[in-house]
Amino acid sequence: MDLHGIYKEFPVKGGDFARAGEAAGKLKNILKQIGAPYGVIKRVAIASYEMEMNIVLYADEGKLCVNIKPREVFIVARDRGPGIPNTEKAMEEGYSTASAEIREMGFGAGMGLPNIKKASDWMQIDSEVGVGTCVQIKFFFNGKTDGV
Amino acid sequence: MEKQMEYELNKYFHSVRLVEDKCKGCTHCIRTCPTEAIRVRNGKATIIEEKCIDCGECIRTCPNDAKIAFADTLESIKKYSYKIAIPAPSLVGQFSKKYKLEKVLSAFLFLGFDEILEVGFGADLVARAATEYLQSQAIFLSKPVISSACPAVVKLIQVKYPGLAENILPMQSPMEVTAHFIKEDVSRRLGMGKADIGVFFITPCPAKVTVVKQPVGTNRSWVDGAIAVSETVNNIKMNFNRVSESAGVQKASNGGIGWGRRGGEAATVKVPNKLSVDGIHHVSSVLERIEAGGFKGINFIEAQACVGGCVGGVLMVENPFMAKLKVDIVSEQVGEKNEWLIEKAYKENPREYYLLTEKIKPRPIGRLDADMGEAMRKLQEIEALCAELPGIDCGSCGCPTCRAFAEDVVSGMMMRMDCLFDLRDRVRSLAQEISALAEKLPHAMQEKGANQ
Repeated sequence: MDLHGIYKEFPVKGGDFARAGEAAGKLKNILKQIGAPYGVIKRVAIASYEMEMNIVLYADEGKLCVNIKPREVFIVARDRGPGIPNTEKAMEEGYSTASAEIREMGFGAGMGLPNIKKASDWMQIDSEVGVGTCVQIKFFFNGKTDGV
Repeated sequence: MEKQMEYELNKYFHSVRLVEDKCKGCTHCIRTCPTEAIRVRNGKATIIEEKCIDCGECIRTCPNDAKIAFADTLESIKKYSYKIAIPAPSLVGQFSKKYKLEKVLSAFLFLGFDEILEVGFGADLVARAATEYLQSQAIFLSKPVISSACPAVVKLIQVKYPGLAENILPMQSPMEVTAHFIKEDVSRRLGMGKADIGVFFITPCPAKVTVVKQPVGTNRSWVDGAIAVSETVNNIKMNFNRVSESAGVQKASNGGIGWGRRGGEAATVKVPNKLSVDGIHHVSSVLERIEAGGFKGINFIEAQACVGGCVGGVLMVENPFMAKLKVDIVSEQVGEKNEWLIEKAYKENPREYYLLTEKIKPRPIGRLDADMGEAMRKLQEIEALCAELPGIDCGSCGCPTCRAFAEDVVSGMMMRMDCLFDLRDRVRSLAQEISALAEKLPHAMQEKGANQ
């Protein structure tokens, strides 16, 4: 068995609403095939979807890098885009910088990052204005049992 | 080759079966199966027991009539002293206006039954129970609740979307409620032991036949057998003139009858934000989205494996779209005249009467191995192999897709060479080798006219 586990990269294009959710979907199916517990699959599905959507909604382009080990899933969402000026505020429920257009589509409720934090067992967010954002999350297979 | 996945034969009852003599190994069915449960081996289709959900797609697809739905025959009712027919709501869609509903129902008495009760009646009861249950369970409304009425969909969730088993509405199907109701009623009324009463569902589909023999969510079915709608329709039509109408035989209301077609069930469940999905592949893609966290605002989903709803079942006779129209016509004619009867019956029983007695268990088939580390290793092997394959899903290997083939090779069920393209490549390299060898002369010989 490879100690490094499974490593996958899923490129995400900014503004590509037609394919939004594809990366999260593929990741979910991988976890199903390896037999991850349903609780973990659900939490990963929620968090990875929000991460993917954030790239689609706000960035130019990005990717989801996933490392799956027997008892841990590590996801990094890296993007090239406007970045987040105040990451603490961005983590507040309901705080949103979404344009009117995005809200009209039904997105931009300001719950994305808080939902990612709620679903994951560890989270770190780094960003540089004008460059991009990097969100890192981890899931442990013996972690939260209720999830979001 | 060591078989890494042992399939226990005969652990599962399946209504959907292959008639081997008629199978040409054409590979049509392997592609349309929603759970990739079919392979072609030795020129014949074989169904992988654990994966089959008895949806009947392969029956629809087979051009050689090699797939059938096994059901009980009318003969089998004879072993009971008191025989009751409980026809599916979609039955009414098999008859045109000239066949009066009350007479169609009474015709079952002509066929040998002692009594009849429409499953539409049970549907009317379940609709009320489901509405009440959903309205009282605010917690459910934080995620989409999926109807338990279609057994093929329930099985699809168990095997392919096991994480959604907890989304299924934990209610008995109208078929079970109807059977339960009439068995107790007759037992009380006529002072009969329940074992002497045979209740037979007149079914549009194989999934119902299977779930009568191996119930899900309940330890025993109230139903004793399932007879195909197709077996009864022509019988009834041919002998219609000899049927005498029995008074008070029709008990369902417009709501319950509507359950026979897509949208009918959703119309009777009084919660906002409902979806109606029909066709097993559409249901599959909706379930995929829900599993990924989508459709959050939806409270209730009516999901039917057959296009058009039960009227589209493989054991039906009439065209499903025509049948849908007929169901609507009958439904409108019946109107609400039996509402009082249904209300009375509903009030007789407590909420538990309608609930499933067991949790619906996940039966995942997607796991590559029981050990996660081993599963991860296999996944990487599968993906590496997939990259080498042509990726055109030609089906010549007997697998539905190149991906399925890769999975079968890694699990030891197939050999790499079973792929026609690989075989051809090997033949070609062998041919090139032979050709090269043929060019090579021993030094003692000289080819006639050669430039060497």
